[in-house]
Amino acid sequence: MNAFGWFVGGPYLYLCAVLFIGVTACKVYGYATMPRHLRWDLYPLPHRVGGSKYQQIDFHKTKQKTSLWNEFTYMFMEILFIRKAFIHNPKVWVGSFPMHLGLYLAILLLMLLLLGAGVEKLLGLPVVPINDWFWVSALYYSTAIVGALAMICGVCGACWLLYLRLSDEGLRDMSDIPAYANLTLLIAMFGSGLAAWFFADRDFSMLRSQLGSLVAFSPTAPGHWLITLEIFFIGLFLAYLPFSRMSHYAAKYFFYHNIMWDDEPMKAGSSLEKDVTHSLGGNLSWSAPHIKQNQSWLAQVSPDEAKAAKEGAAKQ
Amino acid sequence: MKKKVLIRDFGQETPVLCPIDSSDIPLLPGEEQIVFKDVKPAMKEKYDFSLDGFSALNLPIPQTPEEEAKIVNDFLRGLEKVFSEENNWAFLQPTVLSTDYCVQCNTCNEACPVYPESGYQDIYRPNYRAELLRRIYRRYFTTAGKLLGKWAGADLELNWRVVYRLAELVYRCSLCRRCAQTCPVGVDNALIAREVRKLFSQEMGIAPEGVHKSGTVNHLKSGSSTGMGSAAFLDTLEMVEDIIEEKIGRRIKIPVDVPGADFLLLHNAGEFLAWPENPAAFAILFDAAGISWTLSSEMMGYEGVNYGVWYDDVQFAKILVGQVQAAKRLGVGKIVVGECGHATKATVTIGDRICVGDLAIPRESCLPILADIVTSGKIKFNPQQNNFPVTMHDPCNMVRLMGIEKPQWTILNAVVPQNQIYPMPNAGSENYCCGGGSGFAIMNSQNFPQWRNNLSSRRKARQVLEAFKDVLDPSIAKYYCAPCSNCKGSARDSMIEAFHFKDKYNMTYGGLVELMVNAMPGLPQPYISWEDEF
Repeated sequence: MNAFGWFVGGPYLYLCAVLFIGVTACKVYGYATMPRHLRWDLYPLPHRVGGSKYQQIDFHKTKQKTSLWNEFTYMFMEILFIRKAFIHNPKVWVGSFPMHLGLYLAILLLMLLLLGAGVEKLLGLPVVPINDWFWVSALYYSTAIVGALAMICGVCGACWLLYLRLSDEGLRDMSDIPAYANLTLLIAMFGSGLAAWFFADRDFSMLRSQLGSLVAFSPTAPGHWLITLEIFFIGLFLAYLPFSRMSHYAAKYFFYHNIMWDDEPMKAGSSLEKDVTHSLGGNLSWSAPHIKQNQSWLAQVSPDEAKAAKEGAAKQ
Repeated sequence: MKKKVLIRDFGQETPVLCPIDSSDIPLLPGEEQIVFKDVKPAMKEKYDFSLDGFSALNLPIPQTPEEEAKIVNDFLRGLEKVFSEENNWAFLQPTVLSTDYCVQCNTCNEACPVYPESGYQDIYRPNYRAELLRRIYRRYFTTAGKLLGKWAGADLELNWRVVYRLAELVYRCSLCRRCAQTCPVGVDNALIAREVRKLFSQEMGIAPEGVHKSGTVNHLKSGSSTGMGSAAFLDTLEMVEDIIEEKIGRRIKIPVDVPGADFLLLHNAGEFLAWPENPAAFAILFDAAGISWTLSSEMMGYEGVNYGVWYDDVQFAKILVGQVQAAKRLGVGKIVVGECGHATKATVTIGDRICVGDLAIPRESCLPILADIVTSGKIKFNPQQNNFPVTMHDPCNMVRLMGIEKPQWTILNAVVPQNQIYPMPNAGSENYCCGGGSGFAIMNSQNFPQWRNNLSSRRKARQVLEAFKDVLDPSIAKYYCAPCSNCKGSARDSMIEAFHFKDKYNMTYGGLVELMVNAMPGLPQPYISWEDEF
């Protein structure tokens, strides 16, 4: 058990974390380097102060007021409170909000545990309830409260969503197997965390110590089999996450900033113009009769300009 | 009765997968029954009606296994291209993201104008058609899907029925994108529908006749989707000038091909034929306001529509480039698009990333210019001349997809008495589609118009009745204002002809500029003549 515990609490978790970071980074890089697409705005755009620029005459001549703060607050409300689900799908929100809150609190728990491990290792101060240092005591209690809330919220939210997916005919009919698998994994992760907290590690000291050993690259076996189980599911979740649709946390930025809210105008000499011009030069291989196969976009839409561009390039 | 159709059963061998029964559809207030005409047996034998009993595409039923296999193979080849950078840079990122990240929460469902009005038929869920594509894509193009099948969410096997039904199903979505507005993740199921339309058009040559053959192809060949050539256009303008003279008692020479004018006005050319009072009203307003403008008689210069935006990027780009080049040759300062929602969106926003280098020319909606005429006091309007109930439909393309929400209301508030304005529920960027969006208004193949009028347009008709609920008495004439040609076409076909709102409630429809001119001083007679509107 100790060898297995050491493997799960050490190499396995390292591997899962590397996989999570690596695949997520590759996906984000892949999305970020996709070609600039045609405009597909969806209004209202929060960064446009006073509304859409298209409501003005000669909007291209006017300096448009924008607000990053508006974007930030919009996204903050959307990410933290799942606002659109609250408005448009309350019965799903009842589960989705606590489940997401559980995940956010779990991230906060991770940071508090790392901080606690640092305090113990670097400052030599034990993170215990009664301490000479008030902030260390506060760290102790906040870790316990945040951790317990994370597990409770996560379990309750994911269980409700699974119940809904099984009991609501519309949701059941639209669900595929991964939809159930995702929720099951979340329940397993939060559930094992809840059990480990309740039965073995009420103040998260074992988990803190485990994390401390990982950060110091000297992993040990967890102090209780429930914590081993919890870590096993955390690792599984991390490794699986970037391959699943649950990784919409990474895609959301692109959905909002690169698609719905991307109203960057085409300007002469801009990098946008350069990118689009490059794309327009690519050949198409669509097979329908109205498309000239293996000819560029430019040749499709403006044969004269394509010819001129080709001749110009030949002269150069 | 609601018909349960699981995704994995989409290709099942049944004559009609989800037959739409008129009793499924919730009636409008005052509506007694819905009657669908039967399709002739000869048509059923020849063409595919197997999705819901309707046909928008006239797809001939394959007769041999080879033909069936070809349909599947062509579709798969096209699907691969949808996800390739070279062939689909124009929408690759949005397509990939919306394919990968739907969490199947159904939040988008209630936002759709069609799904609830169909009696909640599964196949019309906004995420249903997109989910079909996702499962096909996973099954045939992802390693997990190939290896794990249904365990990886890849549980739909392709056959020709799946392909044909999907082709029809993407023409049951008006691309209004109301569903995308509600998605907590940002997934756009309407975009997926559009990309599938593109696949069918650009790879398989499948598109509605009204949109492609007599739409964009005709447009590129003759200069207008109406088939109106340059000479006919100039003749039509004379007719418009006649209307102006008849209506306001003096003739206005409509400026045509004026080099260096402030802007080229691009109308939906259908206006000249179906509602010539609309371009006439523009001419009256611009003349009275002393604005420098022109129309163009040049090929591609007098037609503002761009049907390509609904189904085919190449056709879209060809038309856009033709329009822009016509404006450049005329040397105008900018292009202004008249009362046509999709044309405005296509020309101003979506086309922005086609107009590189010499093609760059400013492009705008007409609404801010019209609002400026009101707010600047260039014309003194008398709202009392529009002393009848008015409700306004905000065209999706202008409000939700371009954010133009204020100018039309600034105008309406200035030209109609306040007590006669009856706002529609969800006015603004959360409006509902008129039912004619994305080409529906001009698609008249087989029995598709019955589907459009009775399902797609039903939500808008319900909203109009809600807006006018206190003034439904037919002794009160009332006006449904839609500053968009497609929306007006939809109003004509559904509310007037199918739901009989003229007969029942004395309701007419028209554009915004007609209301403006009707409120101008010194008119010998009202500009809006109620009977003529039809």
